[in-house]
Amino acid sequence: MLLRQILEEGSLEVSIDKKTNIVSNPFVFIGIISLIASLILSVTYVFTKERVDENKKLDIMKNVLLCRYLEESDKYIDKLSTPNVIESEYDKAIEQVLYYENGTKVVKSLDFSKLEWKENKADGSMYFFFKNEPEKKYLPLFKVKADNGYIIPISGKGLWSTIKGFLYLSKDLSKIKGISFYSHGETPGLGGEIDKLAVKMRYFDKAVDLSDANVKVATMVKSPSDDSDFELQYISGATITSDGLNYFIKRDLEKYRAILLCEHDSSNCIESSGK
Amino acid sequence: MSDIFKDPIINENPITKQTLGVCSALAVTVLVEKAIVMAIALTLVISFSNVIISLMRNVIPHRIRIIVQLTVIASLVILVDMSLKAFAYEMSKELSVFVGLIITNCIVMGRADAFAMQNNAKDSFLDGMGNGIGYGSILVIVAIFRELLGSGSILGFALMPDSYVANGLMLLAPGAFIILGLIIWVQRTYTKYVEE
Repeated sequence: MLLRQILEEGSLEVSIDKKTNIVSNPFVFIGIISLIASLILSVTYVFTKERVDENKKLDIMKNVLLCRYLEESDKYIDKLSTPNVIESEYDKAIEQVLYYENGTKVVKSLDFSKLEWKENKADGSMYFFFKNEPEKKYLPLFKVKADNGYIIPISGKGLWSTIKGFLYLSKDLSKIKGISFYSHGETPGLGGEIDKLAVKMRYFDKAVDLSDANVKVATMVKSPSDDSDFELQYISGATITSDGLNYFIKRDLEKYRAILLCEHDSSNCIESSGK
Repeated sequence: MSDIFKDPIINENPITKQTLGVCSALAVTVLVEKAIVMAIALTLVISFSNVIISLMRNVIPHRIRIIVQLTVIASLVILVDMSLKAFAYEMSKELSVFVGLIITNCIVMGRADAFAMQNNAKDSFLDGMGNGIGYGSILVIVAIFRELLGSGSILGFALMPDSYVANGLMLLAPGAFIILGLIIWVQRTYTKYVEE
């Protein structure tokens, strides 16, 4: 009946006199519409949540791998086409370790995949926690099985957006071996060039020095000298993006310094005080 | 009836004739694939918002019709956004805020208020489809030029010879403006439309 009415007249007619009809009250009407809309949206959210979380997890795995295989990443990315391949490649190449924010190692077993990645909107840095105790912050570390190198998450502000990615350090913590970005909103063709292999390769084999608390790391400069391992070429037309990278790579290395030194030589580890 | 569908694709094209939705036409046309997904997303939103608004047109209190339209459109956009996140995550990352910004696309609100409020559901659906496809086709045409000239490829397949130096201007908003301007010129010459 209703369907026929819709087909014939293409509209729902309310037979009650509109003036006395409660639905014609604007507040009631918009209330009903909002209720229906929010109901539909929350149901969809619940149904897609698992998939979305799974996608986010896969995206992180994929970008850790792209950071690991930076040199051949343009070809390697084609290989990572299905979730199963990404997971198996990741398990083969990467070992995940968790630390507390103060630099002590987490001894109890925690489900790494349940770790929440949240951005601190003020400075674009990331913080990591588990939903059940959000006040306790963690730092994830990715160890490369093949050469005992380390991959850390990096993130910070560029020109328009927060740039998020990974940085891969050699086993002796003296060289950058890879870098990848999984999220940014920089201008395509200018700051957006950070996503191009040619730009990322500028970081390859550049130097890092963690011996001092004030970490020294290769930075982008206008005219780098050929023999300096601490200098690489600016992204032309993207000064603020380059400055951003310089700033947050150093900041995040300082954040991870204690952990990296502990992994490198266990005598450097901070004693876990009764944790 | 078929005019309702056909008109917005060529003669009354929302971008080239009415100059609506230009913002996203500039933003998501760097790559053809992105433009196609955006076109599909907008077509879905505009068709279904038109149908829903049209079905409710006789019960919506006149004074709050814009709020009701916005609620319907916003819900549909969030639905599309959530589905993209679940089933095409890479694409949703690349389109980022522009899917959410379909809410503010004048074409959607414009058709809901100007057409769906006066016409039956079937016509409103056709009108929505027509406008969505009209918008989408311009998006794809702009994207074809921008990707070909700016990256030397279409849908990721390299088409230009290796010696071709990619034109970086095409990747930036001014490149899109130039191409869009040329398309509007061609289209208005073809339809002999003159702005009063």
